Amino acid sequence: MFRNSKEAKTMSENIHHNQHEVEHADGMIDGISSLPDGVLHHMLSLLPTKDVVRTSAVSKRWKNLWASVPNLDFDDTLLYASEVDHIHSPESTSFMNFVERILRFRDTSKIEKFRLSCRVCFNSSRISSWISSAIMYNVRELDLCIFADDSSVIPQSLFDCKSLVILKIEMDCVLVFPPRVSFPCLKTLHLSLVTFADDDSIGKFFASCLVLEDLVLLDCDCINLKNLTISSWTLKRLTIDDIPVYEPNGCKIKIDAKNLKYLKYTGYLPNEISLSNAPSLVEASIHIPILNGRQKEVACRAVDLLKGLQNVVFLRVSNCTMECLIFAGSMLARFPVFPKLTHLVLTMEIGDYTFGAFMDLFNFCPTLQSINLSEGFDQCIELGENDSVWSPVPICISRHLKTLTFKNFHANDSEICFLKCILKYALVLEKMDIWWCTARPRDKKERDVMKELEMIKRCSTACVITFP
Amino acid sequence: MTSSKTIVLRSSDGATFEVDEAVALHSLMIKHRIETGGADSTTIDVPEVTGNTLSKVIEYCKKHVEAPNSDDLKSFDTDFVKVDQAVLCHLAKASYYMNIKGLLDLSSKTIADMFKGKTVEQIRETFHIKNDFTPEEEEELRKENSWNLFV
Repeated sequence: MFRNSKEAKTMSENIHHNQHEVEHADGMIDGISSLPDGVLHHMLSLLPTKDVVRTSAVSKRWKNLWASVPNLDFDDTLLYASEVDHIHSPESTSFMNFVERILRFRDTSKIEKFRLSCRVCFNSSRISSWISSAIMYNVRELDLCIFADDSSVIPQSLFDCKSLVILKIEMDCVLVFPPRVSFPCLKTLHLSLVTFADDDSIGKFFASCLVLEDLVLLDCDCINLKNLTISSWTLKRLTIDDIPVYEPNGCKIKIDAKNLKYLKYTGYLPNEISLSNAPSLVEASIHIPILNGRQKEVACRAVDLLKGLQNVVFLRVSNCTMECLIFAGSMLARFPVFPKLTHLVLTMEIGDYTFGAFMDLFNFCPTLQSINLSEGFDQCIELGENDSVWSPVPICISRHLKTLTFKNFHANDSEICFLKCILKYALVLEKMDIWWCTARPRDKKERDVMKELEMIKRCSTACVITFP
Repeated sequence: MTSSKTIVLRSSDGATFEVDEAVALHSLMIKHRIETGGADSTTIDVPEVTGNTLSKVIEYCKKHVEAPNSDDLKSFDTDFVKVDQAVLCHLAKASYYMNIKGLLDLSSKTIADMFKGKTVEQIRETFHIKNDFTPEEEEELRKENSWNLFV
């Protein structure tokens, strides 16, 4: 670019000269005003719109920046503070006028991201017009949280939006779609709290998202559904979160996603979920807490879900898996084997009640290389070296296990016994990482424990024990 | 032409820095220059950035390219932006020109956080911005913004 360093130097002198940094009497420089528009827009797009608009009064340089900031973020949370009748209060009207004025005085033809949260202030036709404006500005990312009675507040033009890449809707009502839906560019879809209307329309809706890659369903209500098929050629990530729903529902959810790589499920399985076609699934995170009164039913549904995870390589599980093994009873014969599973993370404390099941689990993971007990053991657990769980030693522990991570370590007898057994039997163990619990003991005790563990006779001489 | 393992970056004030190609490619601007450049693409000029800033930018890129999964990446980032305003602004500008998204996001967010919840006067004080409106202009602004709850 420069033929010699002299040219480079002249160029740099010019740049400094043009920087027009204002130096004040007290020697403090206003560096920020001399940043290029692009940087300031990027910075302003990280602020809620009310803060952005405030900058227009700072100085001449800032006066018109706000009108072309690519992102808009309107949140009526500030209205919560007042105790008055929100729907008709003057604050509510001011908020609505504020949004309209900003949309009217846009300096540019595009909006990158539009976020609207209306939990308090509500006027269906005005909100609908704001969303329409955003769509006319070719919005790329739309994030709506609207506490409305019905979904008519969403303009029809949304369902035909050619520019939309990310759509997030949080609405506690029945979501009704128009007969024709078209999302040619939509890659990410998050639906929260919505109630689906019927099998047909929701099936058509998912089918019209031709390039969908990431789908998140949070607390969605399937009460009107009998058979829901989520069918997508392009879907890579699916997250379903059902946590507040305890009552079983009759809906069968089938996932037909040839390219699905990641599945996360959290809840009590009120609906039956099964993966009818997910050969590419590599990573799964399944968290099903214990639900008193429905254990066996949930365990059976969990086994069906786990069956679809056969090719998984990374698996994070919690209580459910242990419960499945305890309650599934005769279904145990149908418990899936995970032939490719190499990394297992357990996200809850193992107790006396679940330790047997935990050890049984290893019979279903023949090639397991890494175990992470991210919550360690329950403090009341009682283990001994001659417990029956160690005869025979699960194959994966003796032949494949390379890494063991043990967190929430209290250095009590059972924990040390467990670690002793692992060291005794794991032929190819390379690393054992032990993380102290929050109440870390004082240095001397810590050193004593570390010494004790170092002294244990180990089957794999290459094994290194670390205390990160 | 064999692919070079190191690239030399030259700042506006002539300082040169030799970096691994992989680290340099963290800047999409440099990546583009290398891909469209000719035989000279082993030395790349970055005239928008001074030596001091470029050295910090390189430090950021090195960490993020060499140890992207390390546990201390978050604390590295937090400490990285614990600098005075002038340096922070230079980092933001450099990351914008050099097209380094992570650093632009990091420095922008740090500056943005300094705006949150402040009144106009407080913003001026924090960033040493001179109020260059005349009293008449200010009055005009106040009238125009009477609809605005937030000024």
